[in-house]
Amino acid sequence: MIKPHWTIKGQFPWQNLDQVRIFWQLWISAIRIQTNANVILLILKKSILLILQALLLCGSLLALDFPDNIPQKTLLKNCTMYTMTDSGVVDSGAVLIQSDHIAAVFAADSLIPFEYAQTSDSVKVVDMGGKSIMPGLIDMHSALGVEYPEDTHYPDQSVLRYFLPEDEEIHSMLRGGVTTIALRPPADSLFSGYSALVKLLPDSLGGTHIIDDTLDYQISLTGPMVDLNSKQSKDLVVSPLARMYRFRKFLDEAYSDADYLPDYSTLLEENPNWPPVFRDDLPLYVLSNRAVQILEAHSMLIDAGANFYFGGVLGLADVYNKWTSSPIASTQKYINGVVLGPAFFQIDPEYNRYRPLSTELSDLGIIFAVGSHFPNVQSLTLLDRMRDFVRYGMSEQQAMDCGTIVPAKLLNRSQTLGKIQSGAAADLVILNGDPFDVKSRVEQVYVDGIAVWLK
Amino acid sequence: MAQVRYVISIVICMLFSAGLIAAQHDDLYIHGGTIYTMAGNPIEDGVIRVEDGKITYVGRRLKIPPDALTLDATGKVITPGFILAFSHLGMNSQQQSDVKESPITPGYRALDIVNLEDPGFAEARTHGITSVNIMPPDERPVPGVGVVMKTGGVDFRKRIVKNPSALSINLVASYQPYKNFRGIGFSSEVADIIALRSRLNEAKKYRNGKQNTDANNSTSLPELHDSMFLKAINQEIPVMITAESPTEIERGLSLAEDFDFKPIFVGVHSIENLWSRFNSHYRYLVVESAINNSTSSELSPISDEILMQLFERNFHPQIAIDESGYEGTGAVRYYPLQASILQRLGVSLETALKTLTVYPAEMLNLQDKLGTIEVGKDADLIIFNEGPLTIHALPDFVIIDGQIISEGRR
Repeated sequence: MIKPHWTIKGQFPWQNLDQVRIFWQLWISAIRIQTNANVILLILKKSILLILQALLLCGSLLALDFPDNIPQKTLLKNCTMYTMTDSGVVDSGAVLIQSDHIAAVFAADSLIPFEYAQTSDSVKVVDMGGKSIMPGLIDMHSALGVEYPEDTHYPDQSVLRYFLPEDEEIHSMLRGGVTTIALRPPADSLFSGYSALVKLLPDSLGGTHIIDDTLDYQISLTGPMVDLNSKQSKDLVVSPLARMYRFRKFLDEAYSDADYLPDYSTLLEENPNWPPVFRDDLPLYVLSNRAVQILEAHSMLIDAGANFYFGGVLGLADVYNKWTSSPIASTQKYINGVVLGPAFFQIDPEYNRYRPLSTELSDLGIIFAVGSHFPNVQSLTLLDRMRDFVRYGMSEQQAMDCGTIVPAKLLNRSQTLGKIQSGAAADLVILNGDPFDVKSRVEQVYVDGIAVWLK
Repeated sequence: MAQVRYVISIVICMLFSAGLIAAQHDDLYIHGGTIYTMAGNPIEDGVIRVEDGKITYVGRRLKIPPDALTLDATGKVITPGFILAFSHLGMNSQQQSDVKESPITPGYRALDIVNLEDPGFAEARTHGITSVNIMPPDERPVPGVGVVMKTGGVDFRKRIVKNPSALSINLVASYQPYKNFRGIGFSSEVADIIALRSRLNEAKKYRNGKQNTDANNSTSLPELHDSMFLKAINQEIPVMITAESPTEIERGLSLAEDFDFKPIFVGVHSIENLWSRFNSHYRYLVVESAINNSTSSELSPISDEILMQLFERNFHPQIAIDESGYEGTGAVRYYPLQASILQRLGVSLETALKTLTVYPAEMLNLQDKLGTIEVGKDADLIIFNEGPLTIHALPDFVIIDGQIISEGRR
């Protein structure tokens, strides 16, 4: 209905054009006046500034690590491939990377065409020596590098505006096998802002690739535990009770098909805290961790005909642990797509509660993807979490699914993400062993065809 | 006795294993016990048949099929499941103290934030309380609407008995945190009452307008909040008015008269001079028990004299204990004990039982679902070892919607 109206502000080199113009004008006026010492002084100052800027630009260009002589194509052969397609795990396969995508997948070395047999001008052939290759994992709930100004909330902004990751953080994510993250805004206010989908690359290799700056709209029904009355954050930080009320009101009015209701722009004028963009193709990402709240919100969203999925469904653990027979069986029909997490640290009791839940959910056929929430040094990597699922009884196949094809499906990007197949993005993770072996380490990562080596 | 236990254990095994698999064994026959139906005299050695969560037979002359699922209650006492008319089970007050919001928020729903993990639920069902009316935390003049839930059950969609169950209005002026927060110029309870009245008036106007112009709804409710006021003045839901002093009660009564809703007064303790003001419509009360006469209690307890007068004047009270506390277990387990203490004051066993069954069911307009053991009602039953309201009475079994939820505490 309404198009997004934010812009991502940044410093662009051509903003210096103004300065060039000023310099030029001053130069001409100086020629005209010829003997104005002040003007000459000014010109000198300006030109010194310009020279300094030019030097800086050259320096930064030199600092960029341009790999010399990149072949057009790369063939990784003799590797154990976790394709996540019908082919399953291929023991000795090969994958052909062309620029940013996978051009072809070969199930056996004998199937590799003759022209790719050896390194040539057009192709670089790498023998992987039986190492494992899996698709880059997708972290469905991450706040990596998101820094919000304190006590302020921007329901009308994309989280990308506050995305300033450090190389170290990106490396730690890549070490956990994650190449794509769904970046989420903080859950402080009910209407939290737009999520974004980002591919991780360190700055030295060109920085992150932004796939989508309006992936979905996050609605936080459960927020952080804050003392509501001491906070200066005005009316945006509210209790769960008020959140649910406002959410209901929003659904009632925004999704109603009734003719007498004003259009969304009018509603927006009356409710400045509502999300400014409201489209049917923009899913709602509903963050909630209480069982009753999830079910209530679910029926409300179904009634409204909204396009949505849930995040942070820890609350289902409450219910699962308490009752004699499995109540999740009865909730099965209510939950379609679920992102598991947030779990903060390994020592967090919350985390211990959600591990058995993962097996329970998968046994019942409830699909879920996995999210890490706050990635940092202390927290477990996404791969560690998936290994934990296996330790708690989930099959390796299912555990792998929740980091790859399930999130890709939830994001409507099954063709390009989460799989090793021709046409998919060249996001590959190379491990020195079985992904579910604790001793295995991620050695190399390809993000959109760009190779990142990890120590 | 050993034989009885043997039979019971077999029954439990069947309920949890075979009962889930074999659909034809859905019927449950409870036989041998003394049934306090609360709708007539107790039935000695009676039989209750439960089908699909409902009671389909109560009486003496039912032949139990040989292969039926039975529960032998010989020598035991069966009562309807107890009901709390006003509680905050599963509400976490710390998280909800959101006083920045408008003082009048009838659209807030307790169901939205109820925490099923609250140990109070387990505590309640262990002690025979099968249904609770959960009201939102009452920190503002109009905190919102409540929900009636069963305290146990497999599918929590089915556990919800009624939503919304009642509108809450808090007229107690002494509640300080809220008053302190508000800014200059809008800090008197009088202002709240005026605001409340104007909102109720709007709802009334809307209703009258709708009646006059039939389906053409030219006027619309300004807020989702006001739809709850509409429900209240249409008498679809009762209004639970928290009021302690005579002034507050007087205010509540005049609100009820002007807007014609069904009021249930909560926390009243000094109504000596107001007997004449309570007419036959306003017979339902929730009063605070003297058991928990501590400083932590939100409401002042009622004295024994006034409590006795309530019964003499044919009021229908429930004696609440500390409003069943916000956090943890509260004092829900003492509700049956309070009812047995009533007998010491001279109240009959039947009336004492009614304060926990029939009266709260009637308060919440749920008398056709809960409160008695009659055909067609929900199979919420307590099987006491003796009693029912003696000091040694403890539930052996608690049955909610035909399912054995709790095996009591031994």
